[in-house]
Amino acid sequence: MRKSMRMLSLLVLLALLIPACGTPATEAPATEAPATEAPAEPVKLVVWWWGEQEAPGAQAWLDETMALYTEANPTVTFEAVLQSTDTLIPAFQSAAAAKEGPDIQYFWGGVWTIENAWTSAIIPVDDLIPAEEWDHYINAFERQYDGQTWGVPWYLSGNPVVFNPELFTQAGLDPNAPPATWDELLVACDKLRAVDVIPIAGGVKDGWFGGWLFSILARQPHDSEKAFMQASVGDATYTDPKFTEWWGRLQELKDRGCWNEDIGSLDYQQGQDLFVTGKAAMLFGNDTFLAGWAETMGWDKIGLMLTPRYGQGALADDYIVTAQGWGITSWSKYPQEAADFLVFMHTPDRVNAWFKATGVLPADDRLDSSLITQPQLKQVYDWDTTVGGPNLENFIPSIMDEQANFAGVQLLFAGDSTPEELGVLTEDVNAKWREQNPDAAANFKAWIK
Amino acid sequence: MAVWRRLLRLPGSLARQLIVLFFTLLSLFPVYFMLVSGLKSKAEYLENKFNLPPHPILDNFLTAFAGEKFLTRFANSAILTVGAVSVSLLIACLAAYAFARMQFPGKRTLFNLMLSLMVVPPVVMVVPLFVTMVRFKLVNTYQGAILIYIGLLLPFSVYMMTNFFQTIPHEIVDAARIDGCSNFGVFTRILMPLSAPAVITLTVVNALWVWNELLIALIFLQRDEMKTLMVGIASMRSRIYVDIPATMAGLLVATIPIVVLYMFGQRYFIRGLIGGAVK
Amino acid sequence: MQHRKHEPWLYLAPALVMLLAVFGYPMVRLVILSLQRTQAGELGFVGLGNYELLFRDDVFLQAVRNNLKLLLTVPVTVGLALLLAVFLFERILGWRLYRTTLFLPYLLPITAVGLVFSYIFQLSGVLNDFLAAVGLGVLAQDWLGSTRLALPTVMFVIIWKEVGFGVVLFLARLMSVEEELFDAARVDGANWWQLQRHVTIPQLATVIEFFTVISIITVLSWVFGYVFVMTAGGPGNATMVTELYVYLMGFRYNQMNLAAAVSVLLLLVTGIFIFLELRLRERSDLGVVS
Repeated sequence: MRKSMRMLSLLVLLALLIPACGTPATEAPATEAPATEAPAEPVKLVVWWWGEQEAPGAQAWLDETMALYTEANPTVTFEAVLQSTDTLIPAFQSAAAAKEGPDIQYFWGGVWTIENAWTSAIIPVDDLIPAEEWDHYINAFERQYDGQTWGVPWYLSGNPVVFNPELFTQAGLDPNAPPATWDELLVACDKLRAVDVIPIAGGVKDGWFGGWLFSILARQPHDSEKAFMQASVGDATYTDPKFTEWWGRLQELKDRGCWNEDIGSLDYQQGQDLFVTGKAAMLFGNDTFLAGWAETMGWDKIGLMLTPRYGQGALADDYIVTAQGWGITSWSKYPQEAADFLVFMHTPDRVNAWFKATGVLPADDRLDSSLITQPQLKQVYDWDTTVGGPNLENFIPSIMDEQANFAGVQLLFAGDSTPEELGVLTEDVNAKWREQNPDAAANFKAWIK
Repeated sequence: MAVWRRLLRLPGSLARQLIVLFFTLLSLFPVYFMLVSGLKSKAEYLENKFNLPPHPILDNFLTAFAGEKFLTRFANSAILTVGAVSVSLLIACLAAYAFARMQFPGKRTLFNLMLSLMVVPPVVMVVPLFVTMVRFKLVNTYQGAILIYIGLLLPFSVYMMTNFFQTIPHEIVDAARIDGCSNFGVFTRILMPLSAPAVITLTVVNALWVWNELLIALIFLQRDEMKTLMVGIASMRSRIYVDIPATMAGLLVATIPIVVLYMFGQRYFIRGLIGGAVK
Repeated sequence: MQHRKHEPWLYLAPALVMLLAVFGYPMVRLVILSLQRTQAGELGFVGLGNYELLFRDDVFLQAVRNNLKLLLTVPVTVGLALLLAVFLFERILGWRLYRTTLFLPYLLPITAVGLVFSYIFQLSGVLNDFLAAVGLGVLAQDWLGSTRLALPTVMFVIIWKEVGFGVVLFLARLMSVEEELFDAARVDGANWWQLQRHVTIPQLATVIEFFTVISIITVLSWVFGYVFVMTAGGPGNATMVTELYVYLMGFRYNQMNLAAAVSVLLLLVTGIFIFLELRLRERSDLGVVS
């Protein structure tokens, strides 16, 4: 017995010694001198992105843009990799941990970008991009922290309520005067039910829609996204009526029968499909999909409206829009070249080409607005430039989004939690976040300024 | 109670037949569902979900192949499987030889320790493994994932081969030694050739495990071009996949290799998975 | 066999190196990680601080609760496997075919199985359509979308997949039992139940124990695939399990230390069962695997 104990301890000792003699990660060989001259060496930019899912046509545009850029700058080549929604973030976090991977990374706005500034996974881009450029970028504020900008916006993604004018007429509703107030919405639900049409389509099984509902509905009693940021860092509480009201409103919609019955067993895309196939009259949608839907349904079946109002805050009247965009990684060997490419993406020719390829509005005011011929897209453009407001999901900790919004909405639809309980859930999740993540909470607080 | 007993006995085997039949159909149903759905058009599927396809089409397979980088993922799974299974086999046979035929201090303890590793859940290892792999720049590499799989396959493989080697009669080995064979010679020229059935069984079992594995593949091969088939399938939900027939077609392609192999090599699967110790 | 004293170690070396690399070293690292935390940018030791945080995390507690609930599948799996194996042993017509088919689910990838079932169980899916077709439409439910039913539905899928292994296992063992034992009992006038109670089950005792332990370990730490694909832990954490929690903590929220702490706990619990399994193996001389 003693002999085997000795054997065992030897093994354990060996195990402890291995890290001591393992090869530590060597630093990547020093790069050439900072770019004061055009790089003579070949430059390969690796781009990890998302967006074809949201803005079909993006892939083709990106490929074309990269080809054009290489034509003009033969030393620069690209490798673009489209990520899936589930792995966009984990893949980047692995890359950040290993300090290798993409040079240019796609990020959603707000906290999704800024949290990587906190971990130093991305670098500020103010010095890499000419000052005049910034005047043309839309929604750049979403990427600002600590007096610097941490990314470049690419395209705009907004959240209108989409409705089917034909189904409205069928139900005796006026397609030219869609519901503007909450009560009108409830009445619309009744009328649509009466003719056997699903009033609003949705799917919460994969969770994401819960975050949208939060952004769309929870905003209304408030004046600024800062209210939520403050509650998340503990300067206000999510159990206040102003914060819990939206759960009650969502419950109201549910009780009134506004949603499809199987909302709990459908993923968001499947819920969306109910609208596209004409079974549902309304959808809390995303304006990036409009062009694609029009190909299936026809533009005449697509109407747009702002979210019906129940709240009195400044955020109740706006059109939710966020700019999806890019960041440059801190380990990239070619930050200037990467920035140059990002600027190239914003040249008027490219910006117009984007719109033509996807039907999605670019985050750049140099878009030739005469290209926008569809009245619905004109409407979106109008809203973007006059009443655009922040997407709340970008201004809360992601764990709150997932554990309070995603999970909470699922619980609500399953009939398992009351609005008050969900308010408590939200507060608890945030308290937990602050406890488990004191560093991030401190950063968040600094961000609020 | 008496009535029930009589009911069970009279058409005794009939009752049993029905029960077994019921569970068998239950076992088959999802495969059946995959098959018929994959051959239907979207409209046909919506109309009737459990009948046979009235007009079977192959379009869904094309969609599945086109949209999902199927071939790449298939190839990735294959590379991992072949790499991990072959190397672990080699290492396991060497170690089994020592356990089965040689004496050394701590042999029993070491063997038992190694056996107990068979039931350690991989999830427990992923966090430290990930942190370590990052340091050695092995994340998103085939080598990194294969190394992990080898480690995970070893306990069972060593166990199986040890058991098998122990069943080879000493006389054969002794005869070879008399002829002047070295230990290594015995290993390569006597033991291994005789172990063909065990090796096949082990290969089949291990290949199945690696092919089906999700967690390790998900964490260590996150780069899109390296993803395995299983990871691709798992992400299928979050794409724009309202096309259920196409999804089913994709799943069919992922599972058909296994089903086909099973139909041809059933006894290897069965024998291997229940350890071959139950004669 | 004759060999030089160091020779075995040459043969063992590759295996030992691999095992140390994949199991030994990580386990040590795991414990260390679980005792650290990054604060103000610095990685430092916080003793049992992470464990404390865990036990205050509702989501973690829910995960533990769910894993425990999953244990309910074990008696069902074992019992059902036993029943089917006994029936097959009685050589009902076509038993070989049944055995082949019953084993198939065990081989299919959990990922594929989970995805297929998630479509079958949709509110507008095949199961409900079938229920409606046979007039039981009132029983139609949102199987995976209801917080009450999601976990039981997952349990069903787990049982569905694992039973086949037990059937084959028990059957193989039964077939190696001497016929005489059964004949003798029958001659003594034993009816079906008595036969099972006095002959079959005692003969299978060690295998039953073994399969039970395997099944327990399965639902404690091999269910990631089911949950990840069918429910993503939802709805509202109703199907959250410890493996998924480790994954989310470590790779979505970047909380490696908390993930490590959970892993240590899971390892400890599994360790107990490993110990049990070792004892069983020694007693029964049985060589099987999970």
